[in-house]
Amino acid sequence: MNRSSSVLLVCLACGVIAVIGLGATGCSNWSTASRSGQQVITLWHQMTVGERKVLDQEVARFHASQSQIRVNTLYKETEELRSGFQAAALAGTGPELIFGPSDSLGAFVTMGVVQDMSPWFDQSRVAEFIPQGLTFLASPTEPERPVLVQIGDRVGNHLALVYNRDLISSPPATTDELVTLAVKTTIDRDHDGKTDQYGLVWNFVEPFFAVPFITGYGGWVFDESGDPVPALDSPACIAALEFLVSLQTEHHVLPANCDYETADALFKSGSAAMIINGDWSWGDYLSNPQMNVAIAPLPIVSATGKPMGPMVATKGYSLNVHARAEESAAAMEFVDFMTSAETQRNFMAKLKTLPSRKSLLDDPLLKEDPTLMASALQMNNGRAMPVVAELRAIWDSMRPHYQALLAGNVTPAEAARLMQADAVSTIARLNQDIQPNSTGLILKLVALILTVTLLWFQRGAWGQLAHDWNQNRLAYLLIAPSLAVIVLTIVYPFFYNVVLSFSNMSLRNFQNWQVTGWQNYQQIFTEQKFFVVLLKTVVWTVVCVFLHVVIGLLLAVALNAPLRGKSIYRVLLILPWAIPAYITALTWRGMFDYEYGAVNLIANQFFGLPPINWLSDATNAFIACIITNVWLGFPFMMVIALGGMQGIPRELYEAAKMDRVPRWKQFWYITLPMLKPVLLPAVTLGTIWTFNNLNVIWLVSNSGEPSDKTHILVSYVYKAVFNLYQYGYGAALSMVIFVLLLLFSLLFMWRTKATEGIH
Amino acid sequence: MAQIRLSNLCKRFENGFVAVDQVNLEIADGEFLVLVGPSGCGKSTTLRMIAGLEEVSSGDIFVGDQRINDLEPGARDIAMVFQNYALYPHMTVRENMSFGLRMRKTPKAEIEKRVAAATQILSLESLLDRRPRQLSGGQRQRVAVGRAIVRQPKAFLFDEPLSNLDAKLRVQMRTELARLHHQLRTTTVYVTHDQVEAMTLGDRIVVMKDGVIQQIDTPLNVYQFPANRFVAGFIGSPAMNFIDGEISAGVFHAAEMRYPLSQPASKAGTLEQARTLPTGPVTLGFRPESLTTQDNAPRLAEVRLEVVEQMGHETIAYFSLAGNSMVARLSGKSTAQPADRITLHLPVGDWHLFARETNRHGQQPRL
Amino acid sequence: MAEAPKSRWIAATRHAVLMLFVLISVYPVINVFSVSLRPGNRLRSTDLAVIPADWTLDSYQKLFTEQPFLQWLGNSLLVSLAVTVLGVGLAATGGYALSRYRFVGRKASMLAILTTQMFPATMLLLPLYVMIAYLHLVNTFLGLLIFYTATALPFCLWQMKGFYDTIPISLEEAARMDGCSRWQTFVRVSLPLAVPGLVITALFSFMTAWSEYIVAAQVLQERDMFTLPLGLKSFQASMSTEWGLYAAASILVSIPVVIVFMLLSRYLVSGLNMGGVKE
Repeated sequence: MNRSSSVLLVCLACGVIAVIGLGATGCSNWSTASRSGQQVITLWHQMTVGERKVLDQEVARFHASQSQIRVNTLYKETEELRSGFQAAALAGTGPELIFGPSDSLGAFVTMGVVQDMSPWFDQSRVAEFIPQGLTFLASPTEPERPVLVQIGDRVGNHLALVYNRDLISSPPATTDELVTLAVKTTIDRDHDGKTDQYGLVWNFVEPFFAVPFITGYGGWVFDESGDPVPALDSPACIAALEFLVSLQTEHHVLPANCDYETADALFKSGSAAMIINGDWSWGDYLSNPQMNVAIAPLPIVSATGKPMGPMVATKGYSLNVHARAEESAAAMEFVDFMTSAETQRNFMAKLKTLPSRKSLLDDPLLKEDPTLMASALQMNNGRAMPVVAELRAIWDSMRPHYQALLAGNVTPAEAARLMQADAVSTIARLNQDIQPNSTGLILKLVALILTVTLLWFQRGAWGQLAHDWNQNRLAYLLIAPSLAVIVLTIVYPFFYNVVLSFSNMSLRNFQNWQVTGWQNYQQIFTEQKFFVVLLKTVVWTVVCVFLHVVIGLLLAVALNAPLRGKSIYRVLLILPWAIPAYITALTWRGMFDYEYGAVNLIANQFFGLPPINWLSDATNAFIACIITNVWLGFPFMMVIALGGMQGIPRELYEAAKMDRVPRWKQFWYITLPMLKPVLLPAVTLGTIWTFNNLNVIWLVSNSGEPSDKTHILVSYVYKAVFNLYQYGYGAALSMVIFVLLLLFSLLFMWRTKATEGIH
Repeated sequence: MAQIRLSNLCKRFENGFVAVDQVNLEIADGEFLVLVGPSGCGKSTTLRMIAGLEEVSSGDIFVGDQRINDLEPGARDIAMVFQNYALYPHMTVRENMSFGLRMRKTPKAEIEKRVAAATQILSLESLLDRRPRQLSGGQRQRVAVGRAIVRQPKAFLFDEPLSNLDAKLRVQMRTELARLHHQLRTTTVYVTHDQVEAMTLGDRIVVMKDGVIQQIDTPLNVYQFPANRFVAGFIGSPAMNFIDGEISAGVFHAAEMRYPLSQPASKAGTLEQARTLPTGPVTLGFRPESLTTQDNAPRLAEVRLEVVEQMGHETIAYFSLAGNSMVARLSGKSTAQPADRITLHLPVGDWHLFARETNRHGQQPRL
Repeated sequence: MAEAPKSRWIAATRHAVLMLFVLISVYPVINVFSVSLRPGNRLRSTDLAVIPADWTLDSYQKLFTEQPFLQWLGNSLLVSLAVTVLGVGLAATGGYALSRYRFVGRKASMLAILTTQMFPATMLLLPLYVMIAYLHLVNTFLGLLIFYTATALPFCLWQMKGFYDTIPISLEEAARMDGCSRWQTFVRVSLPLAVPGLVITALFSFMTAWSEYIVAAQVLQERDMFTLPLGLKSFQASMSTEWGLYAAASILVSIPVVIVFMLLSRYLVSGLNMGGVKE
């Protein structure tokens, strides 16, 4: 046997072994009874790193306390947990338990993906918890019967003021004092015009952090009717927004575009005197040996005399609707353990969380620990987070206008008005319940007719196939596995999507969705938003691909000569391609930071350019995304062009030289036309990839910030689906994207004969 | 060793193009047959059908008594030398040559013996462990031939094997191939568009055009007695001169030019010729080498030379006659200069007549 | 000659352009490296120094001692290599069929393969997850293997088809004359000649698996089964990212790919051939 065939055989053997091996490792599939008869249950949680340590200790304690149940914990980022849990629910699986704040619960209950826990939770035990500790919601099917959807092990998730005691002796009691203190502690030590220490920082760009100010001014996100009706256009809200803006524009106590990471880093490095942050972060600050930190309740708003009240949420456990009886029982045993007084006390002691059990309210720990005392005090000023799916719409509607306000593009009154308008329409959209109409039936008929005609007209192909099978048997055998994999993993989901795009799958019809008609498409084409985003996508694609090709060609031309250090150049230039994009895209986001980003720092230090507010201005943020994507994509084009250039006969250039053709004309008349056959397929693919590039937009602009103005179609789809649960609408939109790209590719290939290789 | 027989062989491509049309051909055992014709004439397609690389649309191919239409190429026991040599780049010369034998599970010792024999014949000994890209064009060519001969097949097929070589090497390889055939006496089908190769190598020549065989004969007969105007023009270098005109009373007219086709001469058979001469429109053909400046032959015309190429052993002179570009091949001693006016003579019987409509040879001055 | 100073000037321009872009290419990587050396999670800093004054390898140490980094590395290697083997195997055979045979449905297959790239991948996630769940492949590497292979395959098929197109067909004809069956022709002649193309295909398949996390997050349910990117993402909580660990892990994740790219950069230029035919 010769070398190559043995290599192939070894490869195939490895493949088979790998498949078997990988399949075998999959025996630990979800939670099945393991060999020793143990019940394994899975918990998805979103605890921070510090919290996870305590969680692990408590799980270990649980395992030690009994031998029948094993718990497998898994951290999921908030959004990941939500979308993952929904997807799992659709497939009828998922973790038995999820742990998190109650804000996703409203949607989960509406979708029917969490189970009523009351069968395992005796009515008599309700009294052991404080009222917020247990979340009862109306059952979506029987509105009269409340169901227990979450058992809390802690309440809080609330914001408070954290201050650096080295910089501030006592915390402010009112907002006036807060401003005075903040201004006083905002210092430019070396008088270079750049602030070295800020008075007050927090995740300024996130509306969640603005809520305490709104409550302090007497407002709230919903009105007082009890139904989730937004109330963002209130005088209180406007006043709060005015105050917030003044901190930035009048008092300059916090850096521009201050997001969570910036605020956190500033405070940790001692460059900020105060920070507003949630209970999840305090442990980190308190345990930092280099800092002397204390927690204080947020001050009283001087204008109203009311204390600032953060949103307070319960965190706790919910049960998957798909958990089987024995799994549920085991899971509930674990929940009992985790919500027991002892466990809660451990969390309280180690993480300064506030308990959900009444018995712990009198615990000496709570009376002695200054942090817990301040936290409890703050929580009493707080207001419970509404457990409704609509809350999400509030955040989504507030964020863009809030950020536009901070960027100085709208006035507080305008911002409030726009927030309110958006919230009303978003909530309407969220609760949209499309009913099947006649188009649904027509569509089904059309689909049927299409299929039949297609089969009828292709009937000749079958006979041909049978004939061809004898002749090209090897060809079919060679291509079959590839096609099978593609059909299985791409074609099936594709048709699933086609069906979905004509359906009403959404928050209200999550598991019981049905084909309703072309309403989703109607919605797409009647909204102006779609065309705006489409235009942006086209700009994005054209600019990116153009720059990819231009830079790629430039570098290929530069490299395509006997050059010292050529191979080193080549390797270093490929780096942006080699390193996983999710790493570099995030890095670029960091580099675009206004104050600490390398882009501004370098531009300033070496070229004396004024800093540019990259991420908080819509146009700049979009440019930042383009820069990142160009950076990511040029090596591919460079390599393609370089490969193509090696195939161009030297004689052509020599002939051109004899004809005294200048170099740039040689490039234009020889290099470029000769590269056409390699470049065109690359450009086609590059265009498709760029058009569909979610990663860069998502990571660099932090999912469309500011103001949802950096979206291209794919990120817009993503946001529609994952924020507003509009699965049907999202599917329809992706069909539109698909058709657009298909048309483009066909046209492009037809015009340029790019795929002569195919035909 | 075997004879090859093609019977009503046709090749129709999917787009309807007929590349080979009703080819009937018998190649004797040990014969060296050359398929010649311009590109696109179907000669390569015919060869590839014999090889099994091209599916036969209709008709049959026999090797010996066996019909091989449906045999796999490898099962036909025929070896082929490709235009671009098609040496396996990832194998050494030795591996290239022995590959076919290894595929046939020939015993190792036998393989070595045959490779050794072939390398000796082709003087490839020093190159055995090199890879194709380290070889010169001529060396690659020899390896390609070597790969064919180690197999000791029933027949060799050559597909324009010399066209990628420079002129000098081509001549050298040509004689080498002739010597090889002489030595091995294997049935050979050789495709070329070069009529010199055809003339020098072939026992017989098959001239093809548009998928149809024009003539099958020995090189000399094809040269002397071309079946039609196409063959006449294709074989011979420089090519035959043609001039359209009319015959009346045994005299050929074209414009102001006159040439007596029947003339009393010392040669036998002239009378008979005169009797069978056609009348009316014909094409007169005569070879450049037939023209002479000596006046012991009938006068053709006085012409003004346009270009004169002095080669030493001969002189090629270009001129126009009755609006046609023509060539004369004169003695190497000729002192003709461009712009000279000379009188050209065409010996009796050294011409060909072709019917204007069919281009078929109308008159064969067999002497 | 008058030519000399001009060509020197051109060479200098070449170097200038290349150096500028090398700087741009490398800087973000250096930036990550710099963060990984900073003590205590300090992401934001106005210091442009590559190696901070108070540099420390704490993050790297933590990665190996406090996190199952090696386990993740092993998982990632296992999955990536399996995807590579499977992807190369499928692309090598499928691409060959597309390049050399004119079978019924060939054009349709080519078009279908191209169109798979046109659908927003994020929308395929949900149905895909549903399917993986029905096949009981949740929390298995096999589930990942299938999905990654399918993701990488269209490009790899195209690329391999393009590469086979450049191999002169007469080589295969010679092989067939030499007595090879069609399969033997493929294995013994075409496949060995397609090695540069296969290397690129391997690289692509490997990269796809090595740097993917969205699907992995859906499929894998145990921390011990995480692949590297997933592990890396777990340092990045919504409100508390461990930037030091994240940066350190990023560097470590990147190193193997960068090394592979370095080793293969020669092949990369000659082997990447999407439809372009060079003789």
